[in-house]
Amino acid sequence: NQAQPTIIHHQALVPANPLLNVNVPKWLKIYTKSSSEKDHIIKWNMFQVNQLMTINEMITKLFKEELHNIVLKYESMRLAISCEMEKRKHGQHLN
Amino acid sequence: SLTRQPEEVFDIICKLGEGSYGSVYKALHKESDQILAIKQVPVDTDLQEIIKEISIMQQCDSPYVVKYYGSYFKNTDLWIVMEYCGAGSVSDIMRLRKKTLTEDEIATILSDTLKGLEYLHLRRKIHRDIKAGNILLNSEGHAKLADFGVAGQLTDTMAKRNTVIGTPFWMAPEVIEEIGYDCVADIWSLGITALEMAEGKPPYGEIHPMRAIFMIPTKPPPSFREPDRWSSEFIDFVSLCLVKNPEERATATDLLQHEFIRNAKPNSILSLMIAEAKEIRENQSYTRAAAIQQANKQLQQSHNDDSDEDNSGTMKEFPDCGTLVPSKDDELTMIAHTDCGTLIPDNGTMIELQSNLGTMVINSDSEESTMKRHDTNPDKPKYRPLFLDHFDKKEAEGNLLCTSNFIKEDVNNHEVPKMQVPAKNTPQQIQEQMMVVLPTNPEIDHQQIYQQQIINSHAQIPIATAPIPSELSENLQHQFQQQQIQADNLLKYQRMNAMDSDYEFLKFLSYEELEQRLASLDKEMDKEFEETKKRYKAKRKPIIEAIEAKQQKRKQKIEEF
Ligand SMILES: Nc1ncnc2c1ncn2[C@@H]1O[C@H](COP(=O)(O)OP(=O)(O)OP(=O)(O)O)[C@@H](O)[C@H]1O
Ligand SMILES: [Mg+2]
Repeated sequence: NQAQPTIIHHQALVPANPLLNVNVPKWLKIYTKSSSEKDHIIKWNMFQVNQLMTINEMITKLFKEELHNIVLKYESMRLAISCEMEKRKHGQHLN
Repeated sequence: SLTRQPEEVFDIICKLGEGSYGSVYKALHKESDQILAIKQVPVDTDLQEIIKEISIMQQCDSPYVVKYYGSYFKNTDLWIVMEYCGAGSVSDIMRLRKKTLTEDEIATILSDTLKGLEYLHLRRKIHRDIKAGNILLNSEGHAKLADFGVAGQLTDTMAKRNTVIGTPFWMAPEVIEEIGYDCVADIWSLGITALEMAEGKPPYGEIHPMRAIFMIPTKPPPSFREPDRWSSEFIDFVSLCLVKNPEERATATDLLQHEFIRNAKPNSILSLMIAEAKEIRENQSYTRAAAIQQANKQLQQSHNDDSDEDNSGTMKEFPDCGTLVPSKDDELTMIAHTDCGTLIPDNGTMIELQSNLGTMVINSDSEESTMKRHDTNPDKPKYRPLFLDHFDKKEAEGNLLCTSNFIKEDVNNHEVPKMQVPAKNTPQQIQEQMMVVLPTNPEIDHQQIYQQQIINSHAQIPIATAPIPSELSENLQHQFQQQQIQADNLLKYQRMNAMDSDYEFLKFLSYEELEQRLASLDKEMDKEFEETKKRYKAKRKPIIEAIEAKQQKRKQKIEEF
């Protein structure tokens, strides 16, 4: 059998998303939600490269959140419809 | 040597299958007369990175891991040359036989798989894509892990041109939640794979993958649909894999000692299943031969019409499969519909072959230097949002509902009770669903409510969690606590709003209309996903452009210097 390398358990091989508990600035939230007409007002080149990269990652985070909310919205609708259908079926049984 | 074009070294025999990142072909290594498999993956840039990754894959040398021999670059494609597994993947076998596996078959396959995982995990390598489609069987019934590295490590640099979408159903909750993950993420996927082999598809396999993504972390771990059909040992084994807290999940080494695995029968019990699958494959290819021949003729014709002599002579017919052996890239894509029918027994001289192929190894980095830039260096952990691969891969519009071949072809002949069909839901199930549900009010930002609820409740809800010692656990623990609170609060919130008028309109719909609405929900949801995606793409564009412009400028400055 092969020699077993020592395993360090307390360090995840793939670390957590560094932005997991970071608050996204409000202006960026507004930016991603608004229509694109006035987007040209923002002079992105005023930011430094690493800032821009963080912004880009934050946009990914917001994107994911928004997708999550879409799923939740539809999940809720699904539940409401199935409850309503369940009720009708019940009603039929009683009649 | 490397100066030789791959098509001089190999004859492509036929196509074996297609995955999220490229197609796999059966090929003949001319020099040694050995059959092997070549995966052709389109790549964008950063070839150096990929070459290094492949050298890491090449370091793996275990009978339970598909051997990687080397790789070639052919135009924009990466050719990954690997061991050929004659019986195909476990999911192929299920699909061909239209049958799920028996408990004995599953135990034998899992035993090999666990040995492969133990091998990788002791070396601090995570497979990241364990599923029946990535467990290959050779003709003797030995199971081997495939796609190690390819799925997990090349994705960043890989062109996402392919239309097949990767599937989230096997992903561990911690992977989806992006809270950091370790080797035991593979163990969760193994538990899902066990259910897949027993039931034909993974849990949530028939629902929208995006819904699955958000259900896996919020719902209790999945289990068997019909527990009565399975032994308590098997059920126990799966339950040890599907523990939501990775700190409490069993390791590969633990599971190799499990009763279910210790009692596994020898690989020979798989031979009947393999022979059956082989026969079906051959029959299929026989009936397809005519169509293929027709296509070949057309191909040859159009080819003769438009190109120079040299190229037109490159297509040969291969007797065993009746397919083309093209030498040009665009031709490779043209034969993409042919399937392989024959399984040539690969008894033999792998060691010899390996030494023959030794000339192909592109990268000869010392172990040390490769290990350093790999994830294994604990000082410089690299964050890789695996989760997002699945969003990125959603380019293929309309394909969202049928992500795995298995589902697409709908070949399960056994009755699997459809999950999440609301009409059949018991009150408990509905209650359970409520755990992840928020009422829709277009005026309210759900995420905000969500977060607010969490914050408000922090003080009130006592949290009983076992103390977990390490650093990592703090973060994890926090996540689990949050989940608990979320679930609890959502339930309260839901009750509070039970009388909410948002869904008043449903009362005025007929039963048929309700059914219709329910049936069209996924489609509507997809539309919203698509719109959201488009908006974010547009929003991101100027930022990416600014980054590129700045990097360009910096480059110029350095050059001037
Ligand atoms: N080494 C091999 N020997 C024999 N057949 C193979 C080999 N590798 C892959 N295949 C076949 O090719 C198919 C496609 O493999 P591929 O890895 O590209 O996709 P996948 O495993 O289905 O999905 P993913 O891209 O997510 O891994 C497999 O299902 C299997 O049938
Ligand atoms: Mg694969």
